[in-house]
Amino acid sequence: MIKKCEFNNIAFLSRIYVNEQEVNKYITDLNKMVTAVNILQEVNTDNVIPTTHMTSMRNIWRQDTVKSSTNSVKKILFNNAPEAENCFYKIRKVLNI
Amino acid sequence: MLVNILILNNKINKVNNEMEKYETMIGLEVHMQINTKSKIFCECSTDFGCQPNSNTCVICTSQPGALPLLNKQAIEAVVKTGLALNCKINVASNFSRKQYFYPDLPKNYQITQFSLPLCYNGTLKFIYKDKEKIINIQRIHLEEDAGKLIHKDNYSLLDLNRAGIGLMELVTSPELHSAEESFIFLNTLKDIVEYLATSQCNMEQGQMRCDVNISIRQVNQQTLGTKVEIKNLNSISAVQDAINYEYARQIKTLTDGGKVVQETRAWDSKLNITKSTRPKENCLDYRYFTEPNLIPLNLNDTLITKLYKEIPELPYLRKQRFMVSYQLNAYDASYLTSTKLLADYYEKAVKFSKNNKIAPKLLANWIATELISKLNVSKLNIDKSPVTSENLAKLIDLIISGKISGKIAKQIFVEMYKTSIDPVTLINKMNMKQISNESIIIALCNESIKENSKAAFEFQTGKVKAIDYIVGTVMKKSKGKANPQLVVKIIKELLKNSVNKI
Repeated sequence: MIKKCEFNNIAFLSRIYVNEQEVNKYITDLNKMVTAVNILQEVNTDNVIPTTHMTSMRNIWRQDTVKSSTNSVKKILFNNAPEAENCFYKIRKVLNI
Repeated sequence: MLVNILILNNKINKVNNEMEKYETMIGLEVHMQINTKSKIFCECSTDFGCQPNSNTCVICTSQPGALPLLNKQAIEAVVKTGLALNCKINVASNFSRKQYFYPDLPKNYQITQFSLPLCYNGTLKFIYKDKEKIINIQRIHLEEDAGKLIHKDNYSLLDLNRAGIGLMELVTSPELHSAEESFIFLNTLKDIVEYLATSQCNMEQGQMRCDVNISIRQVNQQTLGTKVEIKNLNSISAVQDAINYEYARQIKTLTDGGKVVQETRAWDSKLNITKSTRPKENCLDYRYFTEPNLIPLNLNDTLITKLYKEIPELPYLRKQRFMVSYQLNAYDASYLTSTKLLADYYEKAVKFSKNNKIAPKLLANWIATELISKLNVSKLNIDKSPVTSENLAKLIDLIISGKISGKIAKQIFVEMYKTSIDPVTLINKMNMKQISNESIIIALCNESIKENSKAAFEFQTGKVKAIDYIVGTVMKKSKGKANPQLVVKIIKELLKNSVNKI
């Protein structure tokens, strides 16, 4: 079961602000999900091959060729940024590590 | 004064004694940019040095709904590298998301591999202090690079050209024991990867970066000490410096009665120290899960066999073969096999040469001195050398056959470098052909003896070195073209005859 300190850590890592009134509501909701998963955990999966995707397709890839996006696309992408300097995106200062 | 020195000596001895009690355990995480034309999940160019953010698209800037398109070449490069390093291959593999917030990562997660890396359980062999050493490689996996941040006083600038370039991350077991060993490991790895051409490993361009995990423990202790991770190392020498610093710091911490704290430290290349970094997040949890937007891999035997066959002769074996086949010493062989391009150039030249006894050694000398110094000045790689391997072989053959002297060869070489013209054409054009016609040389020698009668007399009366003046004059008169051995022989004969006449 999820505890309050775990919840706060997940919220911090996900950069989601949750106010005090909401915390208990979300913990209750999340714990309902954990209960549901716990029921699934009871199924015997000894002879089941681990699956990550619901498709039998494999090796979907492309050859190594260069195709630049058009200047108009690049312009749209760039204009989406709140701030820019020369050709760089300008952002708040971050710790250099 | 004496007392002070004694105290100081005691202190030094104490530190040295303490150092002997501990051993260092070092594990490396090496990131190498994969040598592909396009990025790993989109078709943007991977060219270095372009205008910031010019190599970006909806995928590598993470626009909502944009889906990754996997580059097959990136998979092949990692598998080939793994095979060359004796790794096992996970033929069934997939990608995972590693979630964290940092502005150089626009999706807020990095696509990487988690439980099923493409390669695992490999080894890398190298020679350290004349002994063979084998380091285990735990895994090599594929992931995407992040963008580049430039930090200003009050803000940061972001360039996403690098975001999404394919990276292979190689993780070793903590089996290296010193900065020097780590240095040799990294150089050996770099040489192999460059031979495979799976990464260019250009450190100045950030194509090879390294994190170091380092801990110390008392000799004979079984468990590992507390591990410290050092980041921000972008040259092999920085890795060496950081290990030496951190080793001393950890020993001092323990001998002072403190405890080594598990943490991430950054290397400050200006101050030459490691600094504790504030933890990015209070409890790091990357919440890995399988990347749903990329279909899993199932590599077949045909592909693996094809990649295996593409692995060229690797530097260590090539060096051994050069020593045996071309009678080179270990130093020359090491130097010539240090890059594949250089070794290829040399071997091609040896094959072109008509002389297979003296030419291999002479070619090695000419490449290592004349050619490389010129290439360094013009900042050219050997594959762009204006003097082709074929033309260099021709020049060496001309020296061996006595058609030109070594001195003239150097002059011709300068012209070859400037013009890329073959040496035979240049010799005719520059009128540099060696004079081996005896009657011409006799005439020149007679003139020179007359002009240097004092030197001639000295030679005849036993001062052997005096002949050099006369030889010098002949060479000057012939503009360096007279065959020097023939000149010496003829002068000696002429002077001997004139003594007899006396």
